[in-house]
Amino acid sequence: MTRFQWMAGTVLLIALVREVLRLRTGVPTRRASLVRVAVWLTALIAISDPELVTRFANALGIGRGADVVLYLFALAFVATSFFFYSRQVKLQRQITALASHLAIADARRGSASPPAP
Amino acid sequence: MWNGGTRRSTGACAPLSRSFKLAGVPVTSRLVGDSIYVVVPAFNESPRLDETLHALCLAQQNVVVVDDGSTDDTAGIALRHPVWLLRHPINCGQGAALQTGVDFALARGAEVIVTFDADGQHDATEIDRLVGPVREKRVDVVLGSRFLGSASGIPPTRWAILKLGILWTRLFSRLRVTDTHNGLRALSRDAARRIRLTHPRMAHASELLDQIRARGLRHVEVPVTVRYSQATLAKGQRSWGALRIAGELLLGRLIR
Repeated sequence: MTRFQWMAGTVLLIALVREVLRLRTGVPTRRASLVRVAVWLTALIAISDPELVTRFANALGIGRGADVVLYLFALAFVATSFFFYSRQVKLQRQITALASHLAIADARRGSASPPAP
Repeated sequence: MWNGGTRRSTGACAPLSRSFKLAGVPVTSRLVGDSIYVVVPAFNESPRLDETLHALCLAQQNVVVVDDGSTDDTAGIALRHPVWLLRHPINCGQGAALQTGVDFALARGAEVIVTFDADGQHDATEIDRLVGPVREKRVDVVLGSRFLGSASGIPPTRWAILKLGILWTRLFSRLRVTDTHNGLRALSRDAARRIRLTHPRMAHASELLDQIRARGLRHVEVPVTVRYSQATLAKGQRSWGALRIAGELLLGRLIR
């Protein structure tokens, strides 16, 4: 194994063990935790055995394992960008609705007569 | 504090007699304009707001200023006039300010709602002509058009961008209009209830046109005057703002 595999493998293993321990203690966001376990596990396997990624790439008709990783990252980037933009828009609408509610609740009437020009 | 249950204005501007003129301005709308509400979104408009509201209050009795989280004395200046003042605690954008004003006007029983820019580029005496087709129930929405009326002092770049905006509207909103992003409009109560502006910032003007078409609202354009001055141009939208609006609209179509 290369030095990179040792380093990355250790970090991923720690993250994986931490996530599994959190799952055992009963976290409220179980689904998100399971997704993270799957991601760490996939990354750990892919880094430990690069040939596996290459075989997966070949099965998809892509030459190199690095290419399939790049394509997957590109797709994930687009998907997460849309997801976060959508969430930001929803959040903005909620804040706007709140600001509007406060503004209407605190409506004030101005001076009885207009000021002299 | 606003009493949400009150349907009629209890404001200080009582209806005036029919023959009365104030500073040479006809006040016919004061006679019949109890149900007309003028919504003025304002963000950091303190240098221009006093003059705008002075002219507006002479012509209309129900003026609603929505201070969109200004950091200057916009609210203080508004309160010197007989207007309703609503204050957003933070800057939410012109579209959001308009929707707040419209919601307030509807809650107070408005039959016609006019939107009016705070920077003084519109002529308050044109409101009566603007609301005519809505009051007569011929249409649901009246759109002011500077290209049917006049746009004095308009810079060539602004003219070109507005023309591109019209092209955009005809392509995407499929609405044959001669002007777009003109802040002077009139909506019937029914139209105001059916239109919901979700784009909080400047893209709301295009969104409004989209909704007019999507909801099958009857509309007409009326010639209006738009005056460009150094002050309005300094505060108004930058040319690159058109690109931002286009981006917001395209993303808005992809992501709801």
